[in-house]
Amino acid sequence: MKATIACSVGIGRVIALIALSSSGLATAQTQIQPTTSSQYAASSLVAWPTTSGPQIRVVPASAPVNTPRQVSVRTAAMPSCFGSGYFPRELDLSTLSTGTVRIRSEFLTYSLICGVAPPPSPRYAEYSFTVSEPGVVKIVFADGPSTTAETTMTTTAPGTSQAFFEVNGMWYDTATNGSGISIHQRTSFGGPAFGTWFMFDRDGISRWYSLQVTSWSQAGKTLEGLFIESVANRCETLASCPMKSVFSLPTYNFRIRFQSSALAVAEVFGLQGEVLFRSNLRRLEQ
Amino acid sequence: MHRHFSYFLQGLSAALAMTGVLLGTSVAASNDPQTPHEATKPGFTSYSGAPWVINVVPRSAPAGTPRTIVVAGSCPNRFVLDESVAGTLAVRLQPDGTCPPGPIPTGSVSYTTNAVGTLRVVLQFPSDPAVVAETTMVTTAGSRSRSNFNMSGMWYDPATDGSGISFHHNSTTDSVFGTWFMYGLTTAPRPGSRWFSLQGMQWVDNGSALEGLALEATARSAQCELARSCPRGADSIGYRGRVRVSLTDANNARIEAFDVFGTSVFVSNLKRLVF
Repeated sequence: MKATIACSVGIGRVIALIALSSSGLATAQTQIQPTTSSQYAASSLVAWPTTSGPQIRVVPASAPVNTPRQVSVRTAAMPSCFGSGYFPRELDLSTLSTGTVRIRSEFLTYSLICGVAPPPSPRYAEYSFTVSEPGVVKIVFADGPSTTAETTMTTTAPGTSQAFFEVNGMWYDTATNGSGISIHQRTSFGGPAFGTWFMFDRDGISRWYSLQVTSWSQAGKTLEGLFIESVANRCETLASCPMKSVFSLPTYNFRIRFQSSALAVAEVFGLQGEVLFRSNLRRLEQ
Repeated sequence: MHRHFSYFLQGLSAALAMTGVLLGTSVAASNDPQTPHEATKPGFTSYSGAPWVINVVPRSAPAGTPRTIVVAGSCPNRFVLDESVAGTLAVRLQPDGTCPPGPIPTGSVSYTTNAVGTLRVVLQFPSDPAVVAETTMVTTAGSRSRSNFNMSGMWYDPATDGSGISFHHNSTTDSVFGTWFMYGLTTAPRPGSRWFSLQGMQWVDNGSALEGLALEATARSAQCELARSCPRGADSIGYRGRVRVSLTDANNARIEAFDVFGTSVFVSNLKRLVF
């Protein structure tokens, strides 16, 4: 099993991802350094569970080879200004073939200049990479000598089907009219499709997610891939504006099962494989 | 001359019959059309309903091109068109009913004319000759433009890679529906994604350009079950401005967005995503 660092996913950069998926991996890197930032901590889709100990998750938990994966670690809450604790360091993929990889931790004592000390908060680390061979791998993070968090990542063989239907267009569920999915299919018809799912958050504000790294299965009637959240900085003067994305979260898996060129069922799956939401789609007759 | 107008909350399924009234929260509105908007708040979405404004989209187009007359102000949820004065189209507000939630109170009415010339378009309250706001509509000779290129596909500006526009173009009807994916203020957990639908798009300039409305929907009447975001039915759709797309060739275009006052707020130099 081989792995390498994945590139980030912008709308224009989807080309690079498709090329990566089709050509395999030229290089392998085994020591993946974390990107650590609190802004990575909160997906706009699903929050971390509120438990006290360290947590680890991989998104997507199950995906075809060469799909960008993101491992996230959240430590137990630590004092904000001074204290000590185990901090996540590099992810060691050198043992990938054994079925277990580990995130190294380092015990540090720290002292920061604080005014009013904020409450204890967890630390986060993110690792992005791809896996080029099918298999099941356990990922382990040891937060101290006795506390361990682990999760399992499944890598499947790539989909080889061609699209059965022509599915270009706008799709929507009559029960949630106002939300919908835009799908653009590659000109060659059998290749990947690129989609954008537009919906709303809990405050009723519009949100969009892109559907990328797609592949066809089930005789070309099912499209699966990553449900990706892109994040950008704040617009300088406007409430909204086009911006370059600063990072992307391969948030979860999606699946669209096409019953015809006019009807389909779309689903997004959570970390445990649960259906976060489902839409019974019909194609918009333009 | 042909005209038609209707009033309904517009969902995705009705996207291409762009004749909807766009409803929003009732707010105090000035009837002084000279009241300037705050220069520091020309935002694409931040209009708070201060002065009444009337727009025609597209303002200049060949005879037979459907136009959308858009009004921003208090709660303009019904209109009556009055053409009794030559050279003037009066749009009379008929406020009634209640307004659904939404940040920008806007309404629209569809209008199509074959009369070549410039028409003064005025906004008036019922039984009041005073002009609240006005604009002009220019109708040129010739027939309705047809597109020079098929727009279907994903388009993006390399300078803002990560944002983009999805266009779906029906080559038979020549209708275009767009969705602009960008970023903006949200309540949590950080600045996040925002999308706007581009509707009422009409071909102008002999098919080398498109003009239409930028609309934003909100959905506050239902809740997601497991996730923080989910597909929900829109409960209001509001006018946020207009857009003009100028095509250089089949794979390059320039889009400019204008707020409800006609101020240019941003430009994107688009390339078609080839994949």
